Amino acid sequence: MIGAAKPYLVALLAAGSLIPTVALAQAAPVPLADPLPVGAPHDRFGRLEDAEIQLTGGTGDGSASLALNIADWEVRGNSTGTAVMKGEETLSLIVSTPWDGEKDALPATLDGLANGTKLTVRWGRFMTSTRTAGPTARAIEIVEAGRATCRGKVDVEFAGKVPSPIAPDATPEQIAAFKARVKKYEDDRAAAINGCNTMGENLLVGTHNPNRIREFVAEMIPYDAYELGFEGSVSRAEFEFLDPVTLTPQSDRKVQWSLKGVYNRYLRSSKTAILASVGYQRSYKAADEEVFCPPNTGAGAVKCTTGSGAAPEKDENLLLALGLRHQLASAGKLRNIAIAPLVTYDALDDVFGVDVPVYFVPRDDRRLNGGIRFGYRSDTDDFTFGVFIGTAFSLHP
Amino acid sequence: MATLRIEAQPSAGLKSYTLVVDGHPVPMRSDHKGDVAVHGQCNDGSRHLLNYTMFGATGDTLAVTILCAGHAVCQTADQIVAGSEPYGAGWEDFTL
Repeated sequence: MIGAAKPYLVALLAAGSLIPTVALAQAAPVPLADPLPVGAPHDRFGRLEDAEIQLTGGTGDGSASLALNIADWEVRGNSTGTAVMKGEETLSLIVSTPWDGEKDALPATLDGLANGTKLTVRWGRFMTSTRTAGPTARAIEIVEAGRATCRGKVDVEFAGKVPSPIAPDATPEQIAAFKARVKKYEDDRAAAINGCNTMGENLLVGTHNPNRIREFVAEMIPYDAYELGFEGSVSRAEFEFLDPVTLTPQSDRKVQWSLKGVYNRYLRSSKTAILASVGYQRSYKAADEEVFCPPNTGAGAVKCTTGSGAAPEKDENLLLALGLRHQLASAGKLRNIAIAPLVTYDALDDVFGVDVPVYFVPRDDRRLNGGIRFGYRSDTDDFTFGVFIGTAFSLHP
Repeated sequence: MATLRIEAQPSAGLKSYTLVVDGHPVPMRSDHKGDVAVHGQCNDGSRHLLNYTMFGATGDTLAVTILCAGHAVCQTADQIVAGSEPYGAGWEDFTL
């Protein structure tokens, strides 16, 4: 950062090793903060991978990852008189690496381990609940209202399809054709009515009683689903810097590690997921880049070099994060908008970051696949803004 | 007692589903088939209840067939819709 580089240059000036006017005049502009990646935000919490080897990432979160599910097993939770909890536990191994070479792909998340290839071991538990008793009276009432609406739509649709009567003096062929049309009409109408009667309750309510679909879900699913996960990561990153005296290139490899616990909860009553995590990171940060120029001997132009002027510094973080994923409405124009704000606080450095992706859905029958993103870091007091494409909004990973 | 064979067909993206017959969760194998014992006998006309829940994304589906002595006694299919995501749920009454 320019503000941080100046005192260092002044100190070197005092030692007589640099010519200040050249150094300051030729100092390349250093961005105040690393740019946000032009990619979609990833889910930063408790992601449970499928039970197969899979390649994920790409433009999703600024990294490419290979996830290997080591083991998974079914878990049965406590049962009550009307509900049973059931789910699975998963143990997985994930290798990820920055895809775009950015040293800090996600500055607003304060993720200090985002600058190198990372190996992660993750344990996760996912639990859902199901009624063991029959549906509640309210659930039945919601469904029956949906069926009545469905049948009403069939009545309206088929009222306009009644075969036209034939003349009294119709020929036998015309009569036969008329009878065929009447039979087809009755068969089609019966099939449509049967569709209303046999359609799955969730699809029926979502289609024909959509304003009460969340109420139906809350009636049918006794408890919110949740994910609980713990993960440990280790990464090795290589840092390059310049010896400030000899200006010769140096490199240093550092091992970084982190521990993290995550909890995701999926509300039944609204399209909302609440996400929380706590993590400790021990990582390294490259020193600020500066411009170094040899003493001007008067024999021509001075050739300057840009680079970090010191070895990387250890950086410890205790990250507390809270976020949510929320679709603004189940119907209407606002259904095309979803948000996934995340606030991260580093308790050791007293720094917080805010990351607010806003998703847009282009069509009703498509998942969200792009949007805009705002970010802020309190230590640099920088606001960032970006556009992302390619990843659809989903309430769950 | 009758042993029912349960066959499920979840769509590829469906993250999780649970089937409960007469209050008993059905343990499903990796091939999405399972067995559960219920009171009654095949063809005795006894009434039973299937509850199901799904967890996934909009458009994910689940189809279930229940067999008693090789004959289908219950068939249902449902889908997670935009308004209910990530949940889906329903029930089916059936007789043996």
